Amino acid sequence: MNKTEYLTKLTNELGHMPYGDVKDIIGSIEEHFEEGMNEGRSEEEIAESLGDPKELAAEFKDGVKFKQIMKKRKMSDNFKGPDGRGRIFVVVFNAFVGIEMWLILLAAIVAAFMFLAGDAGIAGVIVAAIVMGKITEFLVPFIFLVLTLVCIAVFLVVLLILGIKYYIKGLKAYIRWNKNVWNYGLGED
Amino acid sequence: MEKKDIKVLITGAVALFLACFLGIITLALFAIKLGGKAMEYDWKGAFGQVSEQVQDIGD
Repeated sequence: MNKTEYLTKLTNELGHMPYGDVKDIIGSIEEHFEEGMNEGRSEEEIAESLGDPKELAAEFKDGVKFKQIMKKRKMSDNFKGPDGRGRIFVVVFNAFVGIEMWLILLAAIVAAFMFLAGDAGIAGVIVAAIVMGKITEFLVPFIFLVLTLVCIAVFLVVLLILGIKYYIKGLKAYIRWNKNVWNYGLGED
Repeated sequence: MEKKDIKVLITGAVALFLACFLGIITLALFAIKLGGKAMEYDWKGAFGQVSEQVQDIGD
């Protein structure tokens, strides 16, 4: 795969990322190609050293910078094999911190969802009572109560949208970090 | 954080602010209404009735 083919594939894989970010990424990859070619390497060799454009794009989508990716590549190229400490760390860390932390966050999301359901239920009952003419004496305070509940519902929806999005994103990155530590250890001594 | 997320976050912050603001107004309105009700209530009559009942039990 030559430079143009590699960049086209990478651009396609980057897909929905903001235009400015894609431009920066392509710029840094082009720079990398130029540096490599100045050292006498061919476009194909450089493209091969960069790896699958799909995997590279996935790392960029997770917010990893190009320098970090190249540092990781160098580390894995020089890697002589796992020494077992990384694996012990993954097991112990997940047993006492990792899994608990993700479960607590999941419980918070479930709790927010239940709050939202309760909030919508109460608001619905009050609206139904107002429409059916059951509430006459405290009409104005109840209308304000419904408005308050609607605002709380909007806040909870926002909390859930962002919470779920970043929970999934964070969990994916966490699993990848675990895999990395499991396979390559904790890094240099 | 993406621009879209920041917009969503701002919506949430505005909703939270409005919820607090409207919540305080709601509480005040309920307090005013219940206060009015309490003022109208015939406390003397109610307590008088209880006093009579207590007196009857005593007798």
